[in-house]
Amino acid sequence: MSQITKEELLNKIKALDIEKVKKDAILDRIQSASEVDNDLIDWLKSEVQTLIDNGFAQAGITDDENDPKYQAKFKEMMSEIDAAEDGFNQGIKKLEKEVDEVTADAAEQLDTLQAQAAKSKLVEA
Amino acid sequence: MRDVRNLFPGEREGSTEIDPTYEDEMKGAERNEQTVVMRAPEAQKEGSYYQEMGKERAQRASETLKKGWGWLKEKVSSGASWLKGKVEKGAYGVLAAPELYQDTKSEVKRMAKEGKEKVVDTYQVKKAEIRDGASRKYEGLKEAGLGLYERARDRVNAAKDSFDDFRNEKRREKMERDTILKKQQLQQEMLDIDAQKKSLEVRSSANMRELFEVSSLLKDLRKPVEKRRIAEQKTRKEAYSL
Repeated sequence: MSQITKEELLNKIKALDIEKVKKDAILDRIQSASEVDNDLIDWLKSEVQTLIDNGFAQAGITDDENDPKYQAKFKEMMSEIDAAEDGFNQGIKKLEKEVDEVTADAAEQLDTLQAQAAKSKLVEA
Repeated sequence: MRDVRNLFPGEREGSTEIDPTYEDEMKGAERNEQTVVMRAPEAQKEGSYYQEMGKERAQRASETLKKGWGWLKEKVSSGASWLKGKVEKGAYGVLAAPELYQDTKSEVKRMAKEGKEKVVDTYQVKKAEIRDGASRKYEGLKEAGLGLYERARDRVNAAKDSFDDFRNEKRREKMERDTILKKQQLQQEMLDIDAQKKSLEVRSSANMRELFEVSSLLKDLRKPVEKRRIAEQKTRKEAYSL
């Protein structure tokens, strides 16, 4: 990821020819961010895309949803999102299993230890 | 297809508690999944593109495009948070025996330094080691959960970016073509307007009035000529009659 400072990002937005209210809202959001991280970039990207979409809509330009290329690209995106979602879910399941194993392992170790302690006390007595 | 926004419905913001209804919700989600599978063939019969994808999926896609990608972020962050809650519950649940909870390894070491060797028995040290070991593993799992979130987020954003780039490029091309056409139309319309304007100018110009006046004047000027011609004819008639 290329780097950009908060100041540079602010200047880029200031230079945009967009509605003042919208521009101020975006600038406020950037100002309030502690750093330029992925969350801020993701949010900003989404806002800019919305402006692009509105611009096209105002110009009367729409997506051609019947275009096979559009449909293929859309499917590709949804497949990738599904794959990401599945990957995430599988990863979480594995982690759940590991958490359970760590918990069970720790409990077993404790039981063993407490049994040994009890045994030792009996022997001492 | 599960409604991903409700994948971790039991998670409450700022809380690491796991909602006891979570399992029930999951079962509900699985039922929804079955419902979608049943709906898909029906949708395919109708034949449109979105319907072929299945109504639920199309609806999700539509909502995704409309609302942005907050849902995934919410899902993965709540997933990571849920995992954290589970880990912490596990940590406190399993390792919360009062005597064990108190005697951390550092505490044991401090006591040892102070010469209270008698207090430091082997079992306490071992308990502290078990607790520390488990804690480290839990921490590792929490980090892994956050890693999963970040990877899923980046992957989804990359897919969305790619699709947006495609749409933007297609619409930009379309707009360029449309702009050229509109310019041509506008130029033609402007030519037509120029012609009409010229026509109006000509119609309303003083020049036309002057031309009418001149014409009228000329007509008047022609009257003597006409009289002369009649006179001439009369003269000729008289001559023939002689």
